[in-house]
Amino acid sequence: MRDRKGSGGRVLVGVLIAAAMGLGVGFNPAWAGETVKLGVLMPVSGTLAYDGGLTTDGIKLAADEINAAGGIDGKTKIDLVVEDSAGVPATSVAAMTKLVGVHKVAAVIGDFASSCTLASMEVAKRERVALVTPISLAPKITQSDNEWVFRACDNSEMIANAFTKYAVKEKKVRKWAFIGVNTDYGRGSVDAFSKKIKELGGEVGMVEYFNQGETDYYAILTKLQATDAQGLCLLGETMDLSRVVNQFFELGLNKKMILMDPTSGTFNSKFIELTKGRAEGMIGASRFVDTIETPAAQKFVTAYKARYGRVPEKYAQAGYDTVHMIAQAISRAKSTQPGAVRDALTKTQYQGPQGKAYFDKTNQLIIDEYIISVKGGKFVVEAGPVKAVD
Amino acid sequence: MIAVFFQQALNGIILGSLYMLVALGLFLIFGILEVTNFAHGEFYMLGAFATLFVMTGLGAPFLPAVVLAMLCMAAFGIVVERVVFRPIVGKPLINGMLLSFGLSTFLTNAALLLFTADPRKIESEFAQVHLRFLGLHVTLERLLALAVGTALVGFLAHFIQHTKTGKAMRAVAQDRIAAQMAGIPVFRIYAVTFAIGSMLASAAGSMVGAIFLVSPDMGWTVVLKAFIVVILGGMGNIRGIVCASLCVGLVESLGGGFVSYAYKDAYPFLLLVLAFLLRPEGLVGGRKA
Repeated sequence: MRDRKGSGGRVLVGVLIAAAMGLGVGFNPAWAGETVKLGVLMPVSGTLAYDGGLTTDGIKLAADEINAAGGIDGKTKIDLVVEDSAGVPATSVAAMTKLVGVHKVAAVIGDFASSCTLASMEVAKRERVALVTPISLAPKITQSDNEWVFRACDNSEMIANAFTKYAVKEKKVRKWAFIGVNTDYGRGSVDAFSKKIKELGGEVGMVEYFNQGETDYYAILTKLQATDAQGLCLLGETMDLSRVVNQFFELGLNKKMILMDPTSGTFNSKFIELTKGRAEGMIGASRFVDTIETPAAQKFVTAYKARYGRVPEKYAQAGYDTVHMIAQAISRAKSTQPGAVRDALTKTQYQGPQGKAYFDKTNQLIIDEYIISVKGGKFVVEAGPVKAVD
Repeated sequence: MIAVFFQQALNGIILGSLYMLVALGLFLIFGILEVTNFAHGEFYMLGAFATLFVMTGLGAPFLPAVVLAMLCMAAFGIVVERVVFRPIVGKPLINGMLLSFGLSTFLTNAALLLFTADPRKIESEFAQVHLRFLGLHVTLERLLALAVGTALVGFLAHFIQHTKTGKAMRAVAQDRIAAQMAGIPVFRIYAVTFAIGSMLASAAGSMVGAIFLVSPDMGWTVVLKAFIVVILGGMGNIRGIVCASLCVGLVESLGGGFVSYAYKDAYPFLLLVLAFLLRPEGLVGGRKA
């Protein structure tokens, strides 16, 4: 008896769900022009959760700004659908598939980690929906002939180009050591930097990789202590690198060499808090810092600060800019159809907090870099804007 | 070169002593309740958060905060045993595995929700104290981790060997039914075991939170290492666990320092495979102490 009752209930629930889905489709056609769904593919859990959250905050700020002004072209409101990629490629692909298949989004913003973007861009290609990464740096992403993937930020080759010139010529760092995260981003960046350093006549010594979420770096740092490197170049994110920097100081290595974070994964207030003044003097390159004095930058900084109570860094800025670029593409395309949005994105001419930006033939955003450093717990512009492509 | 070797070895021993504290709890819970507790890493994470909150909330210094957090976690362990694991006593091993796996996921996500993904650092008074001897370099904080580990394992060994409760624990580990017939309050022993395991994990988590960082996902990697330690140790006795945890710490540190750091997490597993091939009875041999 109990079994029969149970299955009867289940059938009823099934019918209700089916009816609800039918009604949903009937009353709310996805492309009616009232709202447009944008997918957000970001790590909400895992070791990248903090950094991913910064980007998501920027995304939400931009979407709310647009919606408060009446929506895109004053009529189409943005509806963000956030899915957790957890910083794991397999999870990212599942989340991407869900965004495209279940939520029928017009375009997807994501992912954070290069490895995840590389995995999910195959889904973008297959399902014909644009995937715009605001963060991933691995050069491979825009060099693999996939017209559905866009990079709305610089890449490690561009950063390497701008930064190595400054470090080798101005800061006289000739012997380099690298500690990078063991991912496509870390390895891709080390390759890009090593190439440039050798071109400029510098040397690359110790290169070590660590896995995300690693806690103890004494093994690498002890090894580094025995080398004659003049500068340590870090490639990773806030949490992992704050531990590296703390242990770097514990071993007294700060007296021997200078710290560099050229992809500025750590240039945020959390990192300053976690390292308690140990990041002082660290140099890096970034497409954005909150001390850029243009009106567009200061408008963004003020709005972000008012909402979140902290200053934005490049992760928030990229999320913010990406939403605006997609919104402008939808406006130009006069359509929320994924193919039309993609085509319109390629014609982006954007002027944001960071400066002027446009996509090149490979859907790589072309922007300028700033050389920045940590002074008194704040991020200041040392030089720039510097051209990132020759 | 020789100095680098000894520095790496010292790093490895300190790392090993942290694994040891987590592994001991796992080992006790497995030995006595026959539950493979995948949620043990989350006890370690919660212990770290408890220390953090005691320090920031009450303004307590580091060591008293660690002790207070250990007591809180002991209470938490008792509640978890009573509510979650008591109902499956005597059921097949797989029930405990799945249940603890679920508990682990639940606790991680609850922590993510309540404490957010923001990484935080426990600010102990010992981090800034640097010690140098014989060309080796260590902070007082790390040395403290080693000292706390050694002290706790000493206490535990004494407790299990020489107290009445300890003897009862060993009896339950040997045969639950027989122990029950001899009048040992088995369920109370279960509660004590969970309390001890949670306290040890909490101490380790607090140390790690001070040396590294506190975050909701810190438990998962350490619990895998602790499992390797327990298996290597031969599931038999505390001495085995101590040897195995030092071995795991050393291969990680020396392998990471002299071969390649990227594969650091692979070395303990390699050691495990070798151990299965060469010494299937465990490092120090023997089933029960």
